Amino acid sequence: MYRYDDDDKRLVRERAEQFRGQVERRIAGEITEEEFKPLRLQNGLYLQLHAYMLRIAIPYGLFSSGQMRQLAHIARTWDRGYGHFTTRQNIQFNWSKLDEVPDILDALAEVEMHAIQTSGNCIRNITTDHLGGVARDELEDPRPWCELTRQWSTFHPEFAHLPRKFKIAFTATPGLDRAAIKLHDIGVRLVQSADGDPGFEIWVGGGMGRTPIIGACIREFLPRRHLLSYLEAILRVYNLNGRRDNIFRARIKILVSSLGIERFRELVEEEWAASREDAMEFRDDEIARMQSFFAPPAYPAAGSSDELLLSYRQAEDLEFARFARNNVVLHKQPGYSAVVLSLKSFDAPAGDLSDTQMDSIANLADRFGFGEIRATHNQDLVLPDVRTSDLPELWRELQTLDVATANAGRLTDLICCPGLDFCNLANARSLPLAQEIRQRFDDLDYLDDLGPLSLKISGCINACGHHHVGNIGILGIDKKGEEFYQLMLGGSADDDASLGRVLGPAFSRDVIVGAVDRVLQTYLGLRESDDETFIEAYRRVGEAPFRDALYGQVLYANHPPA
Amino acid sequence: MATNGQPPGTTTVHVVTGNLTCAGTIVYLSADGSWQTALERARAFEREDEAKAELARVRVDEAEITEPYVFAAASRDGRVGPSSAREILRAAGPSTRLRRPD
Ligand code: SF4
Repeated sequence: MYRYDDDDKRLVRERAEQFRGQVERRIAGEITEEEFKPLRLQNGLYLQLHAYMLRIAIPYGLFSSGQMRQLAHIARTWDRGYGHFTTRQNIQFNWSKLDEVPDILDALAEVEMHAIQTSGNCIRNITTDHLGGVARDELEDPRPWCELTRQWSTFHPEFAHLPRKFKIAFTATPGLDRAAIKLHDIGVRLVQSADGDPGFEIWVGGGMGRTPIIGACIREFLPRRHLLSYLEAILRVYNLNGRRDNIFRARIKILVSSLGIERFRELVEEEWAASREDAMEFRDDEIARMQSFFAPPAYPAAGSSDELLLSYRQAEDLEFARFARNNVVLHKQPGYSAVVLSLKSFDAPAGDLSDTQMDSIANLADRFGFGEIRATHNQDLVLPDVRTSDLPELWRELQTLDVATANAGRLTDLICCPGLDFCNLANARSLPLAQEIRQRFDDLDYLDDLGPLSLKISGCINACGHHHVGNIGILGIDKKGEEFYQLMLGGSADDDASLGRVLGPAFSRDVIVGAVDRVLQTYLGLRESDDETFIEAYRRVGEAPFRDALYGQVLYANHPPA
Repeated sequence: MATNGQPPGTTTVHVVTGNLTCAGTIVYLSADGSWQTALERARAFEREDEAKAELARVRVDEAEITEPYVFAAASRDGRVGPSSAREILRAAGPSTRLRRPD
């Protein structure tokens, strides 16, 4: 992984020091909240429902065992003993005290971490496929490009005050998208030209929130040395033309859709033609230098373990077999596997880990790998380099830590934002709803029967829980101070991205889980075969059977939908 | 979390709240002008404009209180309680099991 050089270390230390001074002046009353707020947001510090929340960047979801131990130390020393992994591959601490935040930033700087640009109207954490570098189906490791983009975007003076926040994601697998690039302000896919030259396909103007839009392809092929000059041209056009008068119309997706992708493309190409001579262009040696940080570890030689993994997947121990089927991914290195640690067990809040779990997982990352951990946008973790023959032993260890639920990619591996339990902007709770769903459908046979299925919950229209692109999406709304939930179906964040549709009036808290059950029953009743997934069936039959099942009968006689 | 259908005898009152600047803790303005962590100890303003006038006054001391605002609460038999999902959760804390509750 990338290691800070002396300049990086100095920058992060200086930023922590600067923030310490700003905090001291705020507490002394020398600066107002209005003056302080943009400063704290630039350092990832929000004031949430109960307390300050500190969001820490995990660049493209990659971190080390040492960094995980430091996060555990922070959770124990300055928070309430746990942290929350987010849908943007970051981690949040929910109970920060303002006067202690500078100490936390110092502790982060010690392990080459920070909270810079995790909030505010700037380029946020770069995200990517959590299997980058180990996925058997990828074209090339996307992480060197993420790191180059991270370095370019960090403290970029021109883009420090954009009309709104800006999110960039990378993927590198043809025909598959584990990073939801079409739902980002810019999505970058590593591709090859017809001649076999490496480059990028660039998508722009995607996003969720109040106005969900699937991005459009702005360039089918960009030679890789031009990546940053082209991104700069897009950002410049957005920075100059994006709306600043209306926060709800300020994202790049609104600009792209109001101009149309053709006109937006023209503007970007004009800007690029005018500026690219003077812009940064990658030399091959610089690309190679960055790639060297992400070189594969020194794997001890091992033969293929595909047969072994297959045998694990059919093992007599049904629990282990299910774990091997659902949570273990084929690795590009013979003899190795990538393992998904589910942060969605029976009764734990989705995405949360205690300090002791963090410490133990760090130890396992050292013992069963090379000290690397990945955070996924699905709010799980991945140990990327596990010897396949070690899987039974690792699985037993993971079970003791409550992170071995064999539900990766299944209904209960749901995405869930913090919602009204923590978030100042929320309309309704999402964590207890997620918990109730996990408990109601806590039958792994049933979940396997349902097959791949994404359920995503947001506590408000800001859509941090990605409800628009859940096969089943749930959105919390407020009706006169009471929590209600809209149900939508048919979303997908994959390569064939689609937005879910609301089928009818919202449900009250006490019937929403029953409504989900009704949707699942309907799917099971109409699928053509066991192999037809939920989203395939939904796209084949449309919304009518589901709407009828939800609203066409007197299902909710005692609890009518609002 | 049922919030409507208040029992008879319940009236709407107004409360000034905010977060302590340094600790971030939720607090409510009490009758003696101090900030209290328990909603029951909040001063209940019968009229919203009175509460808003007090809000303007406390806003001046930003070193102590951050992002203060007024919300409508329920009062019954002299006891003040929250009447929206948001204020119920602010008063009681998160409704989910924490990984390690204090
Ligand atoms: S979706 Fe809304 S409630 Fe959930 S974390 Fe985002 S802003 Fe908060």
